[in-house]
Amino acid sequence: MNPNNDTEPYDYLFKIVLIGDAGVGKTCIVQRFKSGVWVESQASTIGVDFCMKSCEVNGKKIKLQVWDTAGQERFRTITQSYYRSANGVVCAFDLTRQSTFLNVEKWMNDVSKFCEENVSKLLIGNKCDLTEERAVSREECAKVGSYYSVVDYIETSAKDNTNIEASFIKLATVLLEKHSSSNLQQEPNTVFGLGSRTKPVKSTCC
Amino acid sequence: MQSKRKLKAAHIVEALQSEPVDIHSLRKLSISPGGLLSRKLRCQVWPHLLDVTDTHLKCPKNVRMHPECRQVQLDVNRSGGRFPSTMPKEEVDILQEQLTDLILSVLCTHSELNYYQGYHDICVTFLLVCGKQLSFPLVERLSTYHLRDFMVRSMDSTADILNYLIPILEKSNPELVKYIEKSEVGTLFALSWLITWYSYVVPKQEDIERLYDFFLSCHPLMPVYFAAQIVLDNADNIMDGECEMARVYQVLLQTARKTDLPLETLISKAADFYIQFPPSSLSVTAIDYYKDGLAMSTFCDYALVAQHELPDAVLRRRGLYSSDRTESSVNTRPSNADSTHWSAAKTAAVAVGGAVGAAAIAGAVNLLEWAPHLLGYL
Repeated sequence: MNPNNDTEPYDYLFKIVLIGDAGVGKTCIVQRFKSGVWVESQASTIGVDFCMKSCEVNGKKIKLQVWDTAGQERFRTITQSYYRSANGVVCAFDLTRQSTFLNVEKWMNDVSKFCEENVSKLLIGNKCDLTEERAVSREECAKVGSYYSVVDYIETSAKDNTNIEASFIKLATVLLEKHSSSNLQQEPNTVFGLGSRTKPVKSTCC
Repeated sequence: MQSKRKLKAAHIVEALQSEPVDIHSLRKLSISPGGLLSRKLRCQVWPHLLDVTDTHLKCPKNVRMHPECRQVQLDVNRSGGRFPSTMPKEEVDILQEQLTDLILSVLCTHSELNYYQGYHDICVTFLLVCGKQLSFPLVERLSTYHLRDFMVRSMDSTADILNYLIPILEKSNPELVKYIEKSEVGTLFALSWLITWYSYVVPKQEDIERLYDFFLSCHPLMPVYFAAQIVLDNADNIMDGECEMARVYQVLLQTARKTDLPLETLISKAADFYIQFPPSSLSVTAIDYYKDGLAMSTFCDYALVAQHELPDAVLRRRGLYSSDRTESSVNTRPSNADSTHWSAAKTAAVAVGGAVGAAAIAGAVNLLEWAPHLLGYL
């Protein structure tokens, strides 16, 4: 737990959901961003984990709530309930496994189904340190990114700490611009609920 | 302390050696403080708790051809943290290979079971305690009974079972329930607790094994009763701060990860709660809570059968005698159930009933919706 982060004052609070196939490195990305560490054999995430991290963008204190989801297909119906009212989505894939790249389509379809229409998306190709094993070209990835109107496509390595912080800052910057231009301050109280009364969203159109 | 332990071990051995094996005592000893004490005893008792008689079940061939092989390997490769830090890497590698084969063997034997991330965590516990040979028949049995609801194609039944948490909490701390409802945190924070039987969150392996003694002796909903006790134990902490979803979620996530979890107290309280408020007593509340269905009293009796398996001491403490319960179970016996289920005292019957009951009671929206779903189990 991070009590220091919980009580820190902030100007904006953004909710970010981290999605992508199992084993692409989602939890390693979060851990690197949050604590600056990298774990060789990071256990598979079961369900949805959560962490908070504060950062500063353009002189504003931003608090990011990162929801780190399980990648296995069968958890999707459960994790989809976390998409609702997310401000940002980070969709990650593994640059060395083409199947995880091809599945970006599925993840993005979920995003368009379950997130708010104006959600900001970031596409991340992780494990860029494994240059020898690379299975998809940067051009291909960037093309897919622009097809889904992501704010950016970034190649990262949680292991080498390449572009991890930059990715979150990029997303936070875009969110800040969007929300300060619409003059919409994020109220901590306007959180999205996972209450069981509101069962996991299945097919509603946001 | 040591002599108490010795005495308990002697009781366990005595129950094992009696003809036929004294399953009732084994259950009581598994639930009572300290559980089954050692891996050596667990290897001998767990098969009885699961009613496994053929401990030399043959593994299927070519298991690595299973379509889930890739996903299983992905999770197994990342399970290193579950093995003792003192274990040499070569040994971990061997166990991880065995783990993959164990999981895939069950999946190949039961094509109706779907693998989920977290299932591998349960299998690690069995492998560490029982070794590869014995683990297969045990995990095979466990998967078709206790874990079955988690292994159907959709995770909806699992989410429904988690919803039992609220009425259990309500019995003890309505104020906390109000707070949790207001925060809109839901019950998914406990998903990983339930589907891994706490292997994912409880830090000490010996605690995990002790919990398995308990769960293997009880109704499949007991892990939810246990979750409720963890939450209740942390009520002050949960309510101390802004009633906001992310904060509450974070606090709740951490509660089961504490290294100083008061395990025996929580186990004893969970068992007490189960007796005071069996699943059958919660179903109406659960349905009220969600306001979307009928009471599925059909399966309440399974819960009552399981009750008899709890320690007499707890029953006495609560002033609830098994004889009273027998009567009520007769009174509420459903007419559409196979009567042989009701007379069966064996673990298997209780476990099947429990698993079906849990999903049916928690998940039922209307009769038409659950009936075909239910047939799949029987």
